Amino acid sequence: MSRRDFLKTVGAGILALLLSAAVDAGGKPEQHLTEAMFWRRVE
Amino acid sequence: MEKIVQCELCPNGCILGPGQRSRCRTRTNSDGKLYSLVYGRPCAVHVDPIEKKPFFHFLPGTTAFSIATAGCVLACKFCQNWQISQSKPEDTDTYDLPPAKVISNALAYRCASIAYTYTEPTVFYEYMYDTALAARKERVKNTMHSCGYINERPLRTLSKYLDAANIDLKAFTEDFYSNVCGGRLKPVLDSLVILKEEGIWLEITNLVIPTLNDDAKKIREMCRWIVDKLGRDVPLHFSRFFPHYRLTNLPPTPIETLESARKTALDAGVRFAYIGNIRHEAENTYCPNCKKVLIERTGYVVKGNHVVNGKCRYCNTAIPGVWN
Ligand code: SF4
Ligand SMILES: [Zn+2]
Repeated sequence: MSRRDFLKTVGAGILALLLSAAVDAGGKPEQHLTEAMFWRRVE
Repeated sequence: MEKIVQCELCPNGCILGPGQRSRCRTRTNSDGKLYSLVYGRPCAVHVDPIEKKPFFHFLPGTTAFSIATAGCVLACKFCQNWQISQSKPEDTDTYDLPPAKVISNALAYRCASIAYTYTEPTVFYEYMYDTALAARKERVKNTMHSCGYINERPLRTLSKYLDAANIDLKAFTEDFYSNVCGGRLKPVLDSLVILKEEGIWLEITNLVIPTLNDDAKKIREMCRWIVDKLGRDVPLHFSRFFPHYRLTNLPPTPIETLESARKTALDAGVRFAYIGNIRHEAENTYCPNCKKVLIERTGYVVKGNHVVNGKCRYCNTAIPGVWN
């Protein structure tokens, strides 16, 4: 592997790691709406 | 038509217009439907000794996979976890941990139970419910430490999958609940009775705060209520207060106050009264018949356990609890 390819691979690896860390650490909770179990509409 | 909704989970009964956020900070009205913002997004995840919850008559010496999200239905001035309980979910760092991952982690860490704890599990009810259901299938037990501020229907629904509950009975006056916690006492008492009726293993924690809820007469009244409505076998933990959050002006609870509360409880007929948040011989479990030490504890560490098949090893008296 050339030095350039090697750096590219390492760079991609780091990016993937950062991305997965970002997923683990969580985005804004508003992006995860789950319908509540106990509620009613107020007429 | 206005798209207004009302949450029916807890006695606060939040009524929310579109885009509004609930009092517990974890629910919102989006286009006329009520949503949880914290499903599968805990901000606290730990493996704890079950003694830390505290449960003293529930699988002693085991660990609980413990989770919490941000938010709370109350706003106690003495909250030990106020950084997360009084925060919006988006202001906390969260993990991506759906119910299946909670179970797989609990199994991987060899935890006998999952504990819904730290903040108030009612605010992450849907997450707790789905996790509890999945845990039951894998024979992992479900426990919660809650303030008991929850409506009857959700509590009974959850009870199908719950094995044990430790409920904070914060005081025995409506004044304390309204002035110090922003809630009411009556719904908490109702929840205790419901849990008992549902056959959930129940323990109670009472944090004794100097000048605010340490009146001997009220403690006696509380203990009598417990014996009368819940029976003598519900363990009662008197916990030591330390200055915290918005109550930094008060001193830690004197040991004598805790000891006298414990004596009041025993005199009223409570069979298992403990002192917590401090090293003390009243952390141990004593046989109510032969008085020998049955479970010896230092803090969260169990140093000896002489309950054999649910009975005192020395005199064969049945000791209430969940032992295996
Ligand atoms: S659980 Fe939250 S949204 Fe529902 S009534 Fe209670 S405080 Fe309001
Ligand atoms: Zn005995």
